[in-house]
Amino acid sequence: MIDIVKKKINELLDSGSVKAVVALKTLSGHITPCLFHKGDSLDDLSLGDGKTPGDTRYPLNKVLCTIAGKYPDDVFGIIVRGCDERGLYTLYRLNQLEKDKVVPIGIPCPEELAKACECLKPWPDAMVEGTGSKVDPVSQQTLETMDEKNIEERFSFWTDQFLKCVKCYGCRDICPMCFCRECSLECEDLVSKGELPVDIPVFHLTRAMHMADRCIDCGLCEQACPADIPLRLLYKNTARIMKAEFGFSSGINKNEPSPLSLLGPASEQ
Amino acid sequence: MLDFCGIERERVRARWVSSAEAPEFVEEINQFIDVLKKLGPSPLKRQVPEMSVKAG
Repeated sequence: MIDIVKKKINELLDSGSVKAVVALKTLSGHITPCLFHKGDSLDDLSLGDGKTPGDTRYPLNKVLCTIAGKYPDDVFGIIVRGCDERGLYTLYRLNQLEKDKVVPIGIPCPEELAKACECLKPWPDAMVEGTGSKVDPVSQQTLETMDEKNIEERFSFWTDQFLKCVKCYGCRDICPMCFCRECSLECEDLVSKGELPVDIPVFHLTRAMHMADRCIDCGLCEQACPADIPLRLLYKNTARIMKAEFGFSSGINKNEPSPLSLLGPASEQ
Repeated sequence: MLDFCGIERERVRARWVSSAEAPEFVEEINQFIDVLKKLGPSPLKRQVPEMSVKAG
């Protein structure tokens, strides 16, 4: 698969349709984000497959946002999995990236990764031909398991989880959908600085509410969390509510506006 | 979300009451108080406060 991706990157760079490509490379045994220009060697290109497929991921969208902010007139390519592409769609919607300045180079996720993520769309729309086939969406088993617990069990489960939080803000910092210059979680009227444990459940639910129409379920927050709080499960529930109440899933449809950004009936907009 | 985290959803209420509707407001609040009394203290009150630490 990687050879096909390399070929595609070279095509894009050689034709000049993109200025550079945001991807990953292996550097001294580590996988790290890299911006590939025309003529750069693609020998060390990585798709984020460390020990298992896709176990080493970065918020490349976030990297792209930074680069695109500095070079607003240039077009950039970017390697995307299903979740990354959902992220792109959401960043277009929130005016953080321009659609016609981004060329997604899509790769599907293998079944193993899709299962581990319980991903609802483990493939991007812009899949490069020959990189593999779409695997089926995976049902949200962990949510169902949580539903089966009674209210006291749920309370003690989440209280125990939230108590572990060391307020490192890693979940926010890694999040490709978190770009606000002023963050509610740093507002001292809402969150007391330097105190632990965090205000339960206010701290985590504040973030969950802010992610309601944004979270694209990439799971980087949970991967980054040093306390192993199952943040992804929490946001999966927010996403489930958004789907049930508004029929909206963040990043699934390219041009769909968020119900939270509409005032009054959608038909009047 | 509160329900998902194990906090009774009855503990939170949002109602729109006009400033000209004082009796409705009073009734709403009284009813809410009754519900809360039945529910008892919030489970959050029973959290381990001795674990709190302050920076600096």
